[in-house]
Amino acid sequence: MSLITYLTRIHFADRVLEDALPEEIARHRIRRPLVVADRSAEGGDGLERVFDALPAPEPPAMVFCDPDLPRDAEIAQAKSVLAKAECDGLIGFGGLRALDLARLLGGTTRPVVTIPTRTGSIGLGPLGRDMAETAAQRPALPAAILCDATLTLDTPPAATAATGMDALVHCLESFLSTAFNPPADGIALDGLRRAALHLEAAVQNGQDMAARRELLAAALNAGLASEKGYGGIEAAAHGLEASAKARHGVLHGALLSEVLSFNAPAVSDRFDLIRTTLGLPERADLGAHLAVLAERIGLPLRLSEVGITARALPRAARRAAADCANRTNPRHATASDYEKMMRAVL
Amino acid sequence: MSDSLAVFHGHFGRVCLYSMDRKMVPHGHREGHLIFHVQGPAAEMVVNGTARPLSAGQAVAVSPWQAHYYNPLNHTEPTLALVLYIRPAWFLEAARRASASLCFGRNGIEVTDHLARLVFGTAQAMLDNDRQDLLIEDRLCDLTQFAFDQSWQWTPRGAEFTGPDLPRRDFRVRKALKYLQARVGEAIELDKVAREVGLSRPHFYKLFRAQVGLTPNLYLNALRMERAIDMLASSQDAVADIGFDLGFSSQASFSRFFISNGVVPPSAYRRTVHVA
Repeated sequence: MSLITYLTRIHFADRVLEDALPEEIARHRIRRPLVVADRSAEGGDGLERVFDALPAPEPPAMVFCDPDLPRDAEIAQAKSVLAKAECDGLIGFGGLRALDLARLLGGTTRPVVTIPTRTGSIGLGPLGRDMAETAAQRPALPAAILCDATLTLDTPPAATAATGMDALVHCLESFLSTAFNPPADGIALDGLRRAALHLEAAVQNGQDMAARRELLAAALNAGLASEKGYGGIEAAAHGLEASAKARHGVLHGALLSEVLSFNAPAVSDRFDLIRTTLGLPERADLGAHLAVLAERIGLPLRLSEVGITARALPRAARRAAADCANRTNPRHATASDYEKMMRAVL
Repeated sequence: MSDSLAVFHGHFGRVCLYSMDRKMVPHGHREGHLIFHVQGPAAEMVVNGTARPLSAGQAVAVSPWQAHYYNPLNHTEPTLALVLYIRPAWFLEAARRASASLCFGRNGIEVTDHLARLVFGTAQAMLDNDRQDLLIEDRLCDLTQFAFDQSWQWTPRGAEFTGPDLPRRDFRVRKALKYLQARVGEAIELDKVAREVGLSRPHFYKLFRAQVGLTPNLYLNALRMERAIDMLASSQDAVADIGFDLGFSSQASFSRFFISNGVVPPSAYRRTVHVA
């Protein structure tokens, strides 16, 4: 088992949950944790494992994230459970939404342990779109992160594809972002390589443990490198998802190629490094290569395939330009730039 | 006459809301500088000899020690501007880029919708006397971070990028800087400073200018302004006395100096300053 102590305490190993959770609960003196989990985890084996690993014999206070519930109502409800049960720490279990909610509730006062079961987030970096919009306070930096790839085995292929592509794009865009942070560059590049090499295997065979482990490692790298910020793919996806009801990550495949060509004049030298890392020929079209991967794992290459219409683009483009990820895109991109890119892949 | 509507001091440095109609003299300072147009006619900032537009869509970013001045284009109506002086040390904590502190990638900043909202929000909060706006530091952090990030983004008009000028300073220049810093307010003869550090006057001027970014005179003016602002904000001393302490022979000459280097008269500055 590995303990990685960059930014915070990160445990990374198969079945590390059972060893590390009691240890971290004791270390941070959490007596009454609130477990925040995705609704889809309810009754599942993973959540049972969390309960069994907790030191207290009685079941902990629980909040389930419901994708159909309005964000503000969900946060308000979770806050009231937190107060009523007098919880002194949080455990986020699941995907982006559950981890974000746990980090928001933790704030600066309560320790948060995140246990990712998807690869879109491990609990580091910026909040997802809907949580970021309502967040009045800074989210907590988790006191500990437990990366246990056995918890990702149940992820269905479509979710594996979307959240795996999300981890890949996070690494790609952090590497290309304007900020100067050499260690984060190295971490991002390594994560990109792992994701590009193993994403397809994880989608095709959900029980491929090695591929699952590599994908979770890519997500960890993405989280560590997210300090640098993201870029235009993430910004455009956020802009479109506000109205399109697509799972985050699904639209990346369609947006990849167009955003990379837009950015090419600014960072073409960095593309060479990526080609070398991925073992591509010198003049290979990076965007096209990644789009092929996206297609093979079943992601749409056209926005209209998920029901996005031309009418929705101007507003989505304005949202993309205002998105925080756009601030570190290597090339300055305005709303009309985004609209052009979106139109090209409609 | 340019006027000051509100000034805030804090960990971030200073933020000022100025109504400006006077051309300034070239000057520089150790803070990073952001100038946003709020209302009124367009104007320009001349940075290192190049005019940069200051208008509804265009803001100007000036790195520490870059020589610059404000130049109104319309002389009948003042321009309302939000002017930030950002302490590099404060920004370093918030910044993502570790190169020389607070060097902007270029001087021209496009005011996006989001930036415009931040600018107006900040200006409004500064003018609202009833409300102690506790979020001002957050707003300024956002404004600075946005402008800073953008200044490093590539654009097709690449020639407007200035890039960071990494400091490489000669020991004689370092010595001169120390000498000047230790004697703010004294009558300093720059010929004497040149001799003190072992250079001829023309060589001293050239080397100083090349390495610091400003001439010794302008550098000395910047030190005087820093001291003046500090005393206006933190002491009860009369304006005239502050002027005398800084080596000015009369309040009028101190006021003239303060206006041409810092937009508004010292009394107006003191009247509107809030120290956090």
